[in-house]
Amino acid sequence: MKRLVPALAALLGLGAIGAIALLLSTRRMVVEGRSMEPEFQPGDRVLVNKLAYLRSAPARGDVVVVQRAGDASPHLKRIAFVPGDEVEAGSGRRRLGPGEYWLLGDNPAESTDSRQLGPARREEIAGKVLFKY
Amino acid sequence: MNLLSPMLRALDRLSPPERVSAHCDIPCGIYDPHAAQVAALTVLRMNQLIKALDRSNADLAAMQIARYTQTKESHAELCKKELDILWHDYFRPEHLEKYPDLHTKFWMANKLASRNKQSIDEQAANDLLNAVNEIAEIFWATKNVPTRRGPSNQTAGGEFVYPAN
Repeated sequence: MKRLVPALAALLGLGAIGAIALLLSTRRMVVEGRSMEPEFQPGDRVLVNKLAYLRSAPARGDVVVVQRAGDASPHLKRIAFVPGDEVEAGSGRRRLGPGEYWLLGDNPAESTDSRQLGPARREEIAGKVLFKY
Repeated sequence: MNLLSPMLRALDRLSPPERVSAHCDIPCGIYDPHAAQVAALTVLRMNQLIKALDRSNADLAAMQIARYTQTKESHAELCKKELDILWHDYFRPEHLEKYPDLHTKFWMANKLASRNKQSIDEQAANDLLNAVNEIAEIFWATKNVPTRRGPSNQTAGGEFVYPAN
């Protein structure tokens, strides 16, 4: 019993630290609109890791929150192409430069994305979706 | 779902999650309830055509019923889709403050669209058109655009809400 109490306290402490770390490093977000259907429906809630790209670069296939310069609202998109990839832009084929990411909606018919807006800069990618909850 | 989901859902109740947009995200800002109104009127027209059908030739009547029903079904679905775009892409929390029954109106209109799929009921079709018109009035009011109700000027009859400016 004497050994159990400190062990439980340590466990609770670790849990609390973990919960605080989770809260500080993530954003809870609710999806609006259909551009990421079918995987993400309007009203779906997602947990977004704000620190996902501190150590590693955004990767093809990641679903990310992008906050473009001059646009107040964050958007949900998927990374289709990464620096070095060739993309079909409006003005013809071009190669993405360092820090440039081509973002597309999963539902292209109802999405405005890099096809119209061009690539996003790495610093505009505000986080990576971890899971729906 | 995830092991953390209950905790995160509980947190959402304490402080709502941020909104992340996944719609036509320019945003284009182009919304109009007219598409839902036309879809609702089409549902009404299909009810009228089914009711007025000449059934003397059974085969022909069966084929026509199938065509009318298919159109009634697809336009009821289209009506729901158009309503939903207004509901979750156009309307914002400040609109809800001014029109607290907004969610109920959309909810009931969607249910009416479903009822129209399930039945041959001209009254339900008229109710759907009226529900969509009421939403159209709210929509234009949020843009400070005055409206008037007037005849649809279509074979189906019925009224539309029009912007009056």
